[in-house]
Amino acid sequence: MPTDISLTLIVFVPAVGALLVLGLPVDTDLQRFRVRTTALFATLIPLLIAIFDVLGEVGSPSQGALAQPALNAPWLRHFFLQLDYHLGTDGLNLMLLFAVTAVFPALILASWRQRERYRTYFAMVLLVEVSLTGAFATQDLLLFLVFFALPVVPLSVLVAAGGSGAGRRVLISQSLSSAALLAAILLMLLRTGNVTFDFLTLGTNNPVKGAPALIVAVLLLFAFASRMAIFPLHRWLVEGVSSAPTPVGMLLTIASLPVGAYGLVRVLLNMDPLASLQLVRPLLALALVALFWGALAARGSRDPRRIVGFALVAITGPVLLGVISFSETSISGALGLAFAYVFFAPLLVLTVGALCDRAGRRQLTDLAGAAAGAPRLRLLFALGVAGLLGVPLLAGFPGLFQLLLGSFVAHRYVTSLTCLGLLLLTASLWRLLGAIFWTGPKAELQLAIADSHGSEFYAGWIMAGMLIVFGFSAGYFVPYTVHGTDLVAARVSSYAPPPAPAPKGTHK
Amino acid sequence: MNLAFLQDFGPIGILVLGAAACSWLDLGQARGDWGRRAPSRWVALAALLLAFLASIGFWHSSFGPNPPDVEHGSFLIDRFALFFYAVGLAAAGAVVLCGADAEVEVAPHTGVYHALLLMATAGVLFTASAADLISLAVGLALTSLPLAIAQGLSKTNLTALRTATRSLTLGGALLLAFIGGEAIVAGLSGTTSLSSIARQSLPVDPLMGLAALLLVVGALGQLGVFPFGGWRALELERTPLAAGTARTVLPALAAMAALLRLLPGALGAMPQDWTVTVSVVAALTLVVAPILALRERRLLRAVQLLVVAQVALCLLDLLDVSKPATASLLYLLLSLVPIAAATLGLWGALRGAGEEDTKVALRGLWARTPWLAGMLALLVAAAAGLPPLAGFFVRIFSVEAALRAGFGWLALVALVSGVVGVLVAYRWVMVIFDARVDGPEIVLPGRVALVGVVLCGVSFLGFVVAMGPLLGIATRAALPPLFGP
Repeated sequence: MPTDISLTLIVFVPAVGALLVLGLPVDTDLQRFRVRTTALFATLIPLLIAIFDVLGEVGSPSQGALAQPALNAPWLRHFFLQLDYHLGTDGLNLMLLFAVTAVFPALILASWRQRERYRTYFAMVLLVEVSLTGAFATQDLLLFLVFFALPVVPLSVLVAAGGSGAGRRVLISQSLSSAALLAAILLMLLRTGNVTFDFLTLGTNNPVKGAPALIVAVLLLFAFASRMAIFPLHRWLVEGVSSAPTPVGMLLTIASLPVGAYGLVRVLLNMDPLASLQLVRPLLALALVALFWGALAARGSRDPRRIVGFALVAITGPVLLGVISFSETSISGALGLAFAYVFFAPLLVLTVGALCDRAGRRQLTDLAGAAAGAPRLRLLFALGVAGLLGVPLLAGFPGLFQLLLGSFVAHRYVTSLTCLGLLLLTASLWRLLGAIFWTGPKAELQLAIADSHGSEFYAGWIMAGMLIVFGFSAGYFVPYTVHGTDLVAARVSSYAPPPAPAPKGTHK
Repeated sequence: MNLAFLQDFGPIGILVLGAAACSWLDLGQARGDWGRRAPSRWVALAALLLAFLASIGFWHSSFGPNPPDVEHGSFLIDRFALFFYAVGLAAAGAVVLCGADAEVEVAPHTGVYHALLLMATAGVLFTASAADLISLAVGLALTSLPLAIAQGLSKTNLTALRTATRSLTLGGALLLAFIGGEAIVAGLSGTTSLSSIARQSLPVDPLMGLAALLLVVGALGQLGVFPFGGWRALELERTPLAAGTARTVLPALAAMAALLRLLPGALGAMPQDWTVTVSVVAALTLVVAPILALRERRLLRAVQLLVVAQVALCLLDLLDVSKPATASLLYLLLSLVPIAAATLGLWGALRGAGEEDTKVALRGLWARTPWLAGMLALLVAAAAGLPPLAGFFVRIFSVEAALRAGFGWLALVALVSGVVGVLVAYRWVMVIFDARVDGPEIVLPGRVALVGVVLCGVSFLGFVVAMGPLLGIATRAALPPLFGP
């Protein structure tokens, strides 16, 4: 069971690591090695603690329904609003919290060959980990806002520092996203006079009603959709993944969809269920457009990095569909897919990035058969694609399966179209897989790509291993997540209009 | 013989005595008796510390919760005043510490500079305690005029002298506007006592609108809001740095104390007379200051403009006549002090090393002087109000106050202004951490200034961690009698 100190340690040990990293000298190779290992240890400690938390919690699925006792210290009282330092885990956030702590050691390993700005680079990566773990661990909306806004500048700086012009795009889009969340919170505060922002209290007392509720819902939707990189708010992610250094691209993916999807469930559905119901139709359309647009854009692109970026945009569609189907199964599926996304998205960026970096080329035609001599890269990429497409026995499968199953009950036509869109996405990724990874090398290109090795290899296998482990052990952790979605789904269904009575004379 | 007034004026008296001592020491400094040492600095710090301790003592005494009628109602030592005592004294202390490197610019008149600084601080205390229109004007004059004189202490620098003269003229004009507004209020109400004005239901009169305009312009000009923000930044650059910084911080505190006593206090029952003016000035400042900061090519001027944008958030708090909004404003003022002081310390170090604060000069600073670069980055982040620093929470509170007061459009402007501020911070962080440029190392601030800068850096985060208790103190300071309609 997570104790007070365990969650605080998970969130803030990387911050301590960042401070240590900033204080270390970097003049010699040995000193630079120390910086890297310090950063690695700062990510391993939260992972170890998170493993104990998961093992202690997941065994009792019913515990997932409510946030387990955790640190809840008053921070600000007797004011416009109350702010509590409240951390806790339940079925909605525990697995995502674990996934983030598990992927960061891999990210540090993937950054092992970082050449410049050792200290700032690793410090900022650790700061982003603080923000992500904090966003998942907190049980207070204002604290969530702080952690939601915290990674904006570090991410932008990391993207821009790699020589990419996408940094400003990341900054502006994500600043606006944070501002929208802030505006929603303030509007809620204004309309209700409700001073507490504890998730549980907000969930049980519907704070805003009427037209303002719709405005709050739209603001929240903008904030989280932008973070998820849903069409048409996706360009920051695609540009970032395609132009930033590979580890930074990986970091961008980790910071995108999981936080946004979690925010949609935890904040939008939990607090504003009626407005969520009112927005269902436009959101269904948005989910379909995001999926088809992403899949078609991936099909049309010639840059492997952009293809991966668009594929990641496409997958936001099914996640959104799962969230707005409002059943335990579909919401649990959406969160399950977000969980798997934490592993397959950076894995795809890592493998494609490694390939493009080594070849020094960005066009699909120039890279034909480039990975023929790199079986490890080929396998890792294939596992990433399989994770994204929900191939059984990988972590993506339980999520996608639950999502489609739960959504089909509520929106059968849209779900059917989603299946079609997923097939289109498969075709787009198959093109990439076939063109680069399965095809033999063309003699005239003479590309000799070195296979994955050393830290990059280990980083890839950590993520691939997680996909496999959680694919096999789905039965162990899925019930915990499903219990976590009980309250949210029940809350939304309590606002749903009753089914129309059957006309007289119809057969029962 | 009744000597109770000595107790009432204890902190102010200590400052005046300290100023006298500094003036005396200045004679020795001018003759070179003290060599390169600057004993007036330590005397000034000691006076500020003693006054601070005396103020803290008042907080728990009978003065705090039940302020007595001191000096026939024109002077009040309530918790509101004591909060400003503490913040004003801490601000002056931070300016003395962080400005240690910049004292060379006023040499050999360091003692006079410290004496003027102490007098201006006494002015802040006086304004905070003023419960009468006349004493408010006296307090404001006492705050701004000594600092305008201190800006002219660099006698050999013609540009500095010209700027100081203009500053003095501008300060005088603003003060005149303020006094004009006060005169109209006094004429309409028939009294100069703030509590009497608050108790009256004044008739609707177009003159009251004019009075509100004059009061707001007169006081807000001291805060550096639109259209005076650019001027403040320029002034800071052209005059002796330490005096310029003090000119930014201390009159702002005094002006805000005066505005709080006047607007939500005395005129709180008729907000329609002054809220529109305040909201327009706030909106203009919130739009113009970050945009100017975005175009700025000098870091510390950009920081100054970001600070002006944060000062404009105070005006949002002012619109909501309530205890939490006032407490939020007080917390905002408190959080601005370390930003201004750290700017002084770091700018002083750069100037002392003969360095510029332009983009070209600071590009790749991280590789050359990591600690200085880190502190500058933290300073920019604090000025822009990035999470999780105090400015971020301050913006939340201010926007909430504007929404509560019914100024939704202004809340939106404040949010967009915050996004532009983030863009400014991002641009400078990118410059500082640019790895493509290398160069010679820049020296860190001197030992005394470094202590000040580090204390300011710690307070950036400390104010967030201790936000609950600090806002609790601010809430208690925002208690009646003078607040609320």
